[in-house]
Amino acid sequence: MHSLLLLAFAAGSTHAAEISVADRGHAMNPQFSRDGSQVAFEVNNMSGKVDLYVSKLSAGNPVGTPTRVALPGASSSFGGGGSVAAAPNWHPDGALIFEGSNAGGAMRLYFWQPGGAAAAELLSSGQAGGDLSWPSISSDGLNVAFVSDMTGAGDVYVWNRSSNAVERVVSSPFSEMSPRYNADASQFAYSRKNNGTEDLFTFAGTQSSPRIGGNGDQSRPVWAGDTVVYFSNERGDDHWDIGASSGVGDKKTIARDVRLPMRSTPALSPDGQWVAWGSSIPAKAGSIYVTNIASGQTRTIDTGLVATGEPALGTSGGRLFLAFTALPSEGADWRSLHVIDVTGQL
Amino acid sequence: MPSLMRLVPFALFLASAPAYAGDAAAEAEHTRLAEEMRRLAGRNAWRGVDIAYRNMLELESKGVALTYDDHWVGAQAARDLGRITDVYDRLLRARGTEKREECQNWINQIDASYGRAKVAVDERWEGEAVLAPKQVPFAPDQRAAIGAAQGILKDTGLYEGLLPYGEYTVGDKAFTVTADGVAELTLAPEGVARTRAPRTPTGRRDGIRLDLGGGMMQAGTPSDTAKLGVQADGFGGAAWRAGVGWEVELNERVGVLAQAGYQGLLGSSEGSTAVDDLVANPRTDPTQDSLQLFYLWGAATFWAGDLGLSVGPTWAGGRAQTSGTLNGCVEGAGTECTSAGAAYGTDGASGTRVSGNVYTGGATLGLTYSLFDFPGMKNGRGGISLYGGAQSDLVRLYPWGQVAFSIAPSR
Repeated sequence: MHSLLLLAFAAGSTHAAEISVADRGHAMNPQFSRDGSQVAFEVNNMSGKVDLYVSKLSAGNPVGTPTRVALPGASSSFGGGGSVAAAPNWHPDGALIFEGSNAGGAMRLYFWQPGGAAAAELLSSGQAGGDLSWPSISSDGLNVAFVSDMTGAGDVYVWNRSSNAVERVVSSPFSEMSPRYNADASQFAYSRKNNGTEDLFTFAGTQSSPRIGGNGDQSRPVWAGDTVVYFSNERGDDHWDIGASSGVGDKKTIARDVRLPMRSTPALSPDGQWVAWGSSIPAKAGSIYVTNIASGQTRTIDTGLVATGEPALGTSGGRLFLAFTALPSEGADWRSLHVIDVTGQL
Repeated sequence: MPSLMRLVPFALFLASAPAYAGDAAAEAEHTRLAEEMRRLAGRNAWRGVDIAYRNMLELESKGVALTYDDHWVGAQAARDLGRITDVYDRLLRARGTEKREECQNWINQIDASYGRAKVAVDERWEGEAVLAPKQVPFAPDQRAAIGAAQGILKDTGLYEGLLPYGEYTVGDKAFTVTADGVAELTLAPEGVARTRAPRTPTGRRDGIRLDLGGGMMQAGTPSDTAKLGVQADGFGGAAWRAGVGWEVELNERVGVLAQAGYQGLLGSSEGSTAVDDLVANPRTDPTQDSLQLFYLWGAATFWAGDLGLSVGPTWAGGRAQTSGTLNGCVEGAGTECTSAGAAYGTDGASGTRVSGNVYTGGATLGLTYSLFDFPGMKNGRGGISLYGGAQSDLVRLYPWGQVAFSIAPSR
């Protein structure tokens, strides 16, 4: 039995809602739908099982009980043991694309239409073999870039909706990861793991170009206009920062000591001007921080909660909402999902 | 009388035992199929799920009540295969067993996104007749439904069923599928009424039959050496076998297949004619055994779900070569053989190289279990087979056995 608890508390003039489910696990990786009317999020029991839920929102408050997105083969009455449904991406048409695998099975990409049927495999094994991951949907909804390990190392493939064809577009002896389209879908950024470090590249037309290298990992790129925003641990394994690159070789750090999300990219505002993050410094972990990518100016949003992180920003009805996960108190078992109206605070 | 009364429960048990056993067997089969469905669904092997579901439906006549989950997973299998009408039917069956929101939502979604269409192409139509959506839908089930409709139209010249809402073309003619009525399109030459009947219906077990694997093969010892004179001794060893053919369905459970292929012992076939080698080196240079056969196999096939039994006659011919003879030396071998025989007893003939053509007839029996949908094939299922057979050339038997990777058609 799912339970739903609404909490309202003072955070300036904000109102917050907690979205919880009966399944035990950490809430993670919230992603607003493009119209902000829904939020998808993972619940990870940290024992190999990850469920995907979608909650409808009205003015930032959950409507009804979150829906668990079932993998095909399972119904609401069975299945799910050891299964993974994660990494939600919203299509402009309102559908959800995510990674999923039944227990012991291959990781594949799935399609789910809210309010409709059970999820279905987006691409057959005949179209794209191997484990599929890191889906990224172009803004026009016509292409989905993803990674397949069919050849051993991860390569980037693109599925074209019009032709229903899959093409391998980036391949190397090393592992490519995390492709992410820019706003007009003319190119995507991705990372490549090589000799212990991870560097960023861009792909346009038929050509890949190096974008940013350096010490450590430059990881999970996302576009803010022409700027690539990414996570970096250039200062060491325990220190994650958010970097921004406005051109080849150009990079600057815009946020330091960031709490690295489980699998999402840096959380941009819908207008691409701000990036939200949680802090890895315990004394600062009760707030979510939102930094202007161009100016570096940072706003603090107090939550009154503990160990905040995994933020996401979305708009609905002309208002700006922040979703994040947090522990209700020190020593609590599981992180839960919260949504705050932050209109006018950026 | 009291003792007779005590027998009544026993008599009732005996009377009810056959019926009870029949129901129990059907229920057990239902349980097995349900577990198989879930296992296959977990691997996205939807063709296998669909087969298991249709086998389940046959159990309804034996009193088995299918569950919500049976129909629900069956609907998912039909969706992956693009058979949206079957999806709808299975969802209605699921709703009939248990009312759940997820099921009703799916039914509503189909109602809200699919309309009816009828497209007919006369056999005398010479233009292009490919069904194409103006915009390919994003949803996999809708793409699969269009793909299935394309296949049916291509195979039969007629598609009558559900299609996702939207604009379509067939050749240079366009039509639009909406929620209202049936969208109809007929392609026929001017002034010709459509007379063509649909061709082979879809869902038949017609398709390629391929086997590739290894095992053992033997050329046996001649049965009556006294009458046959000088003959090669028996030989055999590890072998491989590969064949490809076609299977055609006769009814839901029975079909026929024809296959051509090759089977042979692993190893060299070097060497030349027997007499020359015998003269050159009668004992210290024995040739490796070689048996290389091309075969033709015709068989009847019997299917129970994913399990298929095939049996039928085989004809095989090719070349064989070995060292060693029975009953003395090859004629014309010269004194080396006989002198070697004198020196080494009966081993004198063991270095003799013998080769020749082999023409055999016999039978092959095979058991195939299909495990997964073979990528890129319309109805091919990959699996594993156990084969065994024996041929005879009226001199000796050629028994063999094989474990093979197989591709067999499914319905």
